[in-house]
This record gives sequence, structure tokens and C-alpha cells, in this order.
Amino acid sequence: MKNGYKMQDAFERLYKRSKHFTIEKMDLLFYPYLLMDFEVKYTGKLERLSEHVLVMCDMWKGQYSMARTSGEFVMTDVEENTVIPVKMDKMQVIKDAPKTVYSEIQKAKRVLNIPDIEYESDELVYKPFFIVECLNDDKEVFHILFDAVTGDFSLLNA
Amino acid sequence: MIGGGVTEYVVLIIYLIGMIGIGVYWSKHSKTSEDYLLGGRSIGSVLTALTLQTTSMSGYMFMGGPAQTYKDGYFTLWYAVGDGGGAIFNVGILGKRMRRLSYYLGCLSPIEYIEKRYPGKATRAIAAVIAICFVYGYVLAQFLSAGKTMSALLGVPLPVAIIIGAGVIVFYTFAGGYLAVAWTDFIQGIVMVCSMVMIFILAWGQVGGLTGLNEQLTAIDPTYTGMWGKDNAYLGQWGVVAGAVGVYLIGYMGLPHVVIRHMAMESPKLAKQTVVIATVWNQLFIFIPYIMGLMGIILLPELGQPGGDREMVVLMLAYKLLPGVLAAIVLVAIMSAIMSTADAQLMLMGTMLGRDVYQRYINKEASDKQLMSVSRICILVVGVVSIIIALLRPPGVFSLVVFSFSTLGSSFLPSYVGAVWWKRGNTLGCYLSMISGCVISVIWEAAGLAGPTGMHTFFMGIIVSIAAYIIGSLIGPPPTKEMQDLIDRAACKTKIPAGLATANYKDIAPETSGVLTFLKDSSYMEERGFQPV
Repeated sequence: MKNGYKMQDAFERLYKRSKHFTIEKMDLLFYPYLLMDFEVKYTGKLERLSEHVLVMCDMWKGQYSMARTSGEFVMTDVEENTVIPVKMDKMQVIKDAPKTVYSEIQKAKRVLNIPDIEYESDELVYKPFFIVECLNDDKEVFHILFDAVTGDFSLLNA
Repeated sequence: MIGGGVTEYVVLIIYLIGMIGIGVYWSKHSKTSEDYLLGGRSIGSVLTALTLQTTSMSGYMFMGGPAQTYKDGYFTLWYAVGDGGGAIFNVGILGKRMRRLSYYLGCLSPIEYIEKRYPGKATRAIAAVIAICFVYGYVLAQFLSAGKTMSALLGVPLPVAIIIGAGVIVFYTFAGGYLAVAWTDFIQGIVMVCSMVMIFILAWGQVGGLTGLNEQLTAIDPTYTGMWGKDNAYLGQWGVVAGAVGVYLIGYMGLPHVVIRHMAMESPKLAKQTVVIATVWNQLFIFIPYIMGLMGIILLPELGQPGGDREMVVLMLAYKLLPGVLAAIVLVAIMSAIMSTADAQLMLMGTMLGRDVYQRYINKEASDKQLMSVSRICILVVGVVSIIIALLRPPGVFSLVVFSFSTLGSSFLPSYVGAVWWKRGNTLGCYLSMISGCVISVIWEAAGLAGPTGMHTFFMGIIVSIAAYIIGSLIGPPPTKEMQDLIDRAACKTKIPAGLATANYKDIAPETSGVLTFLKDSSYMEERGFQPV
């Protein structure tokens, strides 16, 4: 996936949140996902639904999520040890993916009617994250995981 | 019966057509699947907070709370006091630690969190059974509220209204969900809030403000304005008072569907705003229904007579103080808000029964279509059983909700709090705490022991449950070293700058947990010159 944030952008975004720490080190890490396209069809008395939905599965831990957009992709060479390996079985992931679509529909729409969900295609993609090492005012170390596509970040070990 | 005229029927039909129209319009004009499936995500913090609050409080707020104040006077405000501070208390104790630990354990659902923190064959089964049984209490309360509102609106006898109301809810759950979009919830919420405020202001003027209210209550019975309940029924019973305040002040920490909010945030900014708005909202709005119960004592004395139904106090105030059309709109808004709460709770129950019970213990290979069928059958059964209970021996909405809340709180609170605050807390402690908290609450309530002993059901349940958690944890084997390390890390001794401390975005929670595992198992950090994570 294409970086929305370069290292300098990540620096600025983090320092915007607080001045009471310093960034000591930052490096890239690529996280694997299977991006799947499904067609969802539903015909009710008052409405019809025929949409493509994108489901992502984290291929390291097997967690599913709905993708908001297909995103932008670029081909790039990366160092091998900066890529988290794929642990999940691709066929099983595709087989189980419709459950995520069902539960998302249930949660969002509170329905018991389930639509037909048909598999269309898939692609293995990698999302760039920055691992950021920081020091607080007491010189204690903490780490941040920074999503280089969306700019979201989360404390890793604190 | 207070309605039943042509106006009510016309308003009901126009309102329903309007809501369906909004749903149809919205579903036809959503441009992307994200709009369609994840529509709720695009609404802002104000709408999110208002929608959450209004749809979560309907039946209890309109009937249970005011009815209890009508019965006990100012004493019932102890519940409101606890409720007003519950959110902050809850976030303060569980907030950050629980969010971190749930990241480390890689779980996003509250039952899954309990299962991973307290690993054991029976953990999920015990937790799911308790959750299902007592979420059912909420469902039944909504059915009763819907029946009473229908009776008031359409002027039909209560048993018929309960059948219609519950039938409509079950039908709506089966068929209407696709049309129940965030905006219809929001419009219903706004109508409800405006109605409540309007009725409150009009009634406030009629009783002569706070001074007039207190003077007239004192003239009727001085104990209405005392802190021990009407006729000093709870005189000196601090155990009952502590339970009344505590049930909503700390009880939230034991509710699986509430603690899930601590486990992830959409974004720091939105979460912060939502908490602030919800807290301000609570201070402004929590007390209004209770005070309307007090005003009802003066303005609707007939409800206190034999045969009078105190749960109708807000509905009857609407008819007494508002013009006919407006009163009918209020009732329809209340009815639809109850429906939107009830269908969500029914769906939750159906899903738990399907996934946590049927798929896990009966048919592990169940397909989604089978699960859906099981959920539908369960919802239908729940609906029929609820109608039978409501017709044969309808409990009060207030007591039902407080009982369900107390039991869930007593069963789960020690396990949720101990999970992040006590490394020694283990699976045996969790089992004993869940079972004893639930059993004691049920016995206490069924035997009516709160009055004679001066100990509120919640107060008793939570004491026994905490004791069981501690004893079980001391007797049983301690959690693994790995788990204790995770709890230590969740405690976070490192001082994190304020601006970053709140920055745990929900969307990357799974990756955070995954990256942590990878970094611990690989040489990435060492090779690239980082300190160990």
C-alpha cells in the first residue's frame, strides 16, 4: 500500500500531539493482508442491494476487517527482514471471510436477513508501518506503532 | 387507557411512513458499500453520543425511573446520583489498563477478553449463560414498556397491547433492520429529548418550580422529600443506599456490553468528545425522568390510588400538558425508540445463543445460514416467552432493569477489575466470582431479602463476588508468567506524555497486538538497533 505519510510527516504528526518526548529512532515494517473482493446481493421488498465489498484479513494473526476503500498500491523493493511473514492459509481465509461480512451487516444494520455473498478476487498486499522509539522526559523508552497509510498510531508497549 | 383517538392513529401512521421513507431514501442514495454497511461510522461525536444515550435508556428512562420516584420520592435519586458519575468512574478505573491488556491479548469482544485472561474450558460457557440470561431482563423490560406505550397510544387493553408491541418488535428485528439507519435513530432521539424537555418545563411551571415541588410534596407526605424513602422505608439502611448508588456508579464495570467501549477507541479526539458529551448529557438528562416522577405525585395523584399504574406517569403527563397531536407524537417517538433498543438487544441475544452456545457446544461446524436460522428461532422463542411472562405476571420495568444490572455487575465486575489490577487473579477466582455473584443476586432478589436485611441486592452480590474472587485466586494456581508480564505491561509504569497516552486508535488495535508478537519473536528490534520492546 502506498505511504500516505513519510518519515518526516510521522515526526511532525507525533510531535504535534506532545512536546514532552523525543523520537530516537524510526524504521519501516510491512504487515501482510489478503484483500478480498466480494459481491453482496440482497433483494427485499423495499430495497435491493448489489454491492462490492472489500474484506481484509491480517495474514499474520488472521483477524478480519472491512476495508473502507481499495486504496492505492505501489510495487517496491523492501528488505526481507522488514516484512512480517504470512502465517495464515489463503484458501481457508477466503472461505471464512463471508462470516465477517455477515457480522458487519448484522452489527451495522441490525438484521437477521443475510444477503448472498460471492467471492470475486483477492490480492496479497503489504501495509507499511513505522516502529518509533521514543524517550519521555525521564529518559524512559517507549515505542509507538505508526500506520504510514492512515496516520493512526498506537502505543506498542505502554 | 389515555389515547385511542383518530389523532393517535393518524400520527402513528404518518410517523411510521416518515421513518420508513427516510430509511428507503437513505438506502437508495448510499453511494458506496461503506456508506451502506458502515454508515454509523460517518456520523460525528455529537450524533454518536446522542444516539447511544437515547437508544440505550428508553424503556427504563420513560417508565421505570419515574415510576420508582413516584413510589419512593427523593430516595430514588440515589440511583440517579450513581448513574451521573458512573461513566467517569468506569473510565478512570478500567479505561487505559483494560484497553492495553485487550490489545496484548488480541481480543475485541468482552466475553473473549474474559476467556483469554482467565483461560479455562468453562469460562466462556459460564460467562455466556449469565450474559444471555440477564441481557434477557433488558429485553423483557423493553417488551413491557412497548406494550404499555401501545396501550396508551392506541387505547387498547394492556394484554392486547403487549402482544401487539412485542409482535411489532420481533417483526422489526426480522425484517426492518436494513432500514434502521443511524439517521432514523438520531431523529427518534431528538424527538424524545425535545419531548421530555418540553414536558419537564411545562410540569415544572405547573408545580411552581423546586420550591413549589418540595412544599407540595411535604404537604402530601413529608417523607417523600427525605433521603430514606416514603414512610422512611429504608431508614438507616446504608446497605440499601450504598447498593442504590453503587449499582450504576460501579456496576457498569461489570456489564460486558459496556466495558467493550474501553477496549478500543475510534480515534482519541472522537472518543474524548464522546465521553465529554455523554457525561454532560448524563448530568443534564439523567435526573429529568426521576424528577418527572416527583412532579407526577402532585399532578397525577390518581396514579397512586389502587389500580393506578405509576409507570404511565410520563405518558400521562404528556397527555395532560401537551396538545393532542404533540402528545401523540411523543408517544410514537417513545415507542419507536423502545423498538430500536429492543431489536438491538434481541439481535445481541440471538447472536450469543447462536455463536456462543449453539456453534461452540452443539454444532461446531454450523454454517452461517444454520447459525442464522438458530438465531431466528431463538429470537422467536424469546419473543413468545416474553409475551407469556408479560401477560401472566408482569414485573415492574424499574425492578427488572435494576435486577438485571445488579446481577450482571455482581457476576462480572471482580473479574474485569481484577484482570488488570491484580496479577494473582486467576481462572478459579473468576469462576467462583461469576457463579456466586449471580447466584447470590438471584436468591437475594427472589427471597426479597433486601428489605429485612437492609442490604441492596447489588451490594450483597458484589461483596460475595469479590470475596469469592479473592479466595478462588488465592487457592487456585496463579496465572502463567506470560500473563503476569502482560498485566504488568498493561499497568504501564512508564510515564507517557498526555497527548500520546490517549492515542490508541481502534483501527490499528489488531495490528498493534500482531506487531508486538512479531517483534518479540523476531530479531527485528535487535538487528535495527532498537531497544527491546
